[in-house]
Amino acid sequence: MVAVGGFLIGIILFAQVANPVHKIFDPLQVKNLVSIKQFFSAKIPEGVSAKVPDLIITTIEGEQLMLKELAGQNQLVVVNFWASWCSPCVEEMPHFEKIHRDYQNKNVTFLGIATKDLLPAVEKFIAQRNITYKIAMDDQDKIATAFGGVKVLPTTIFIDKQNNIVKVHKGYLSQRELDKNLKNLLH
Amino acid sequence: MATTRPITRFTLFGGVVVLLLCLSVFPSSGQAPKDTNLVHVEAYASHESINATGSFQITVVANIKQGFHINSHKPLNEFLIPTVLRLNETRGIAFGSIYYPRPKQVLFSFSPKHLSVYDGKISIFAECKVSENISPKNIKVSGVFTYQACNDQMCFMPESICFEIPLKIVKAD
Repeated sequence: MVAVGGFLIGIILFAQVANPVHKIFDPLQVKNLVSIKQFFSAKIPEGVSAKVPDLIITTIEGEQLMLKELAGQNQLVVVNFWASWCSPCVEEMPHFEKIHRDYQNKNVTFLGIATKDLLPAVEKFIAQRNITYKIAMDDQDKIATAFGGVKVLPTTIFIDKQNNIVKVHKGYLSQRELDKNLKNLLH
Repeated sequence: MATTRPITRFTLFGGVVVLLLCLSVFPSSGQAPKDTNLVHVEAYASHESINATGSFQITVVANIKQGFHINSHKPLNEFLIPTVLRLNETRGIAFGSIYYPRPKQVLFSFSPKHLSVYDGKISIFAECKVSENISPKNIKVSGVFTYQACNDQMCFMPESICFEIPLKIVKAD
């Protein structure tokens, strides 16, 4: 009994230390205890809200996208934070391009967010690599901040058709992993 | 009442023990390490006191956390951010060449191409000379070490670390 009590207090204290802002464990709300599973599976890591932020994103071609509306239009949205100076990002971009072409008729929208980067470098890079999916600049960190902060690149955020952030992947994504994630979300 | 007190204390103690265990078992569960922990920089001058007209060397030692790397001074790809040591203009001090260490050519799991990187402990040297017309006094030489770190899965934002080295300029013999 004592050990169980100690363990629970330990877990609650640990959660508060690890994520003091979002307080994902509230001992007064039993339903929040479900999020213990989410916490340890790191599906939605610290600093990321579970709902899509209300954000208008302007692509480098001048197109304005309202993220909430995009996700609300029966679209699965994949947001990939990247930079031309980030080698793992650069290596996974052909996977996104392939999937973008393969999934064009399956209501999946890919959005690349160039982070801490310069427009000339981004434009040169996407021309060299034949990237055709939508790219936007985040030189003021506004988009990253709206998602709760992006500390590492690449960071890929999967948003379902109900505007929920359902998965955040930090680090390189192989073609197989990306494909698997999308198939899981589409079914 | 007498029995509840020790149980409460014991429960709290148990909680703290479990908390410490959790922190040790899951030190980075779902979290990326903070970038400032990845590279530790120290800067030294070859001499504490330098004669006017004398030469000295500045050494910047960067300790890169195990499992991480930073780009070399001359990365193999034009888009990558190089490691750079910059010394701020200091009255009475002329800076000469800066010598970077020999990089490693490393293959990472995410890429078929080699990357030119530094890892572990590296030292960068800069040649410096005191000009003739500087009077004896205490000065500070400052600079900035810029790098961009990654591991074999992800990259961290570019960082700059500022440093200062106190120097004593003494009268030439």
